[in-house]
Amino acid sequence: MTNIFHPNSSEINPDTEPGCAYMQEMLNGLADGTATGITKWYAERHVAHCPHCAAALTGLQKLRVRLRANAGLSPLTAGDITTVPGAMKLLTSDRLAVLESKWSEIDRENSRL
Amino acid sequence: MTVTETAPSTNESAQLRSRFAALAARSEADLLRTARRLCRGDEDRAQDFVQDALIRAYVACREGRFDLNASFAETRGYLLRTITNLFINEYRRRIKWDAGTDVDTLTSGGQSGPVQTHAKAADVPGMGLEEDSLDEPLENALAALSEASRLVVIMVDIEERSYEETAQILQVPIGTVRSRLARARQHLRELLYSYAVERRLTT
Repeated sequence: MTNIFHPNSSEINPDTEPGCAYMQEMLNGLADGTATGITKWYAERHVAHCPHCAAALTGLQKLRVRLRANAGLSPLTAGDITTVPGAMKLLTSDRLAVLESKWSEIDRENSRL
Repeated sequence: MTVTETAPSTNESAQLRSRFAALAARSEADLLRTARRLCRGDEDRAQDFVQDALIRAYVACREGRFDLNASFAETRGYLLRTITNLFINEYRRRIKWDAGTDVDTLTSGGQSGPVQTHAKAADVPGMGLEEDSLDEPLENALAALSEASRLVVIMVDIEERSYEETAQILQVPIGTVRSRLARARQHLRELLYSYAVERRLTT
């Protein structure tokens, strides 16, 4: 059934739909939870009636989830400790040498205090 | 003077150094990945940022400003923030030199120009690190954003910093953070869609 307020709503691409131009920042606020008070109220009411902005909001929420999932951090495990000795393997050897030397310099300066 | 002659003089000091080295080793992959993402996969710059962050953090640790007894999530978070802060300091210095340039279209080299829409293969920030777990299209799309846009996305969406903190660190009004973020997220969605279409066409 055609939406009489948004006759072109069947052409919405949920992956790229930007929503109404004046709603951009409000939609982003809704997606990341920073919208509050009357702005939030207004944005939610608008989204409830505008298929373009509803699609844009869904797209923004999906993007946020994908960004968080790809934060690139190794998972934390229960009882994760950092005091187990281990060696750095990914930095180049010259940078590791600089690090060792700088850390020793800092140690020396601190021992003088 | 050699390193061995100047090793920490007390047990406590030696212990602190060894615990910090262990933390550095445990966080190394995460630090490097974050640095590569900030530097669009420029390995040399990324390695420099990790090295500098680990020196700064060690100074903070010796001065009691960084607590090694905190949880791993907190200590790693501190190191990651140090890298981002170092990157932002360098970025701010660069845009000062480029006064008059539109920072929203500033590229990673500091020159203004058309925004790169596709990252080069070599720009993938996670290279060499758990490639299987990496969302490559997303990393490419992030690398294709202008530096100003990429920074707000990394700070707000990945590091979960507030708009206020992001605005303060970047020294821009909060409204600028809001508008850059809206533009950057929309650009990311469009890039991800075009990557998905390309992938469908090529498979």
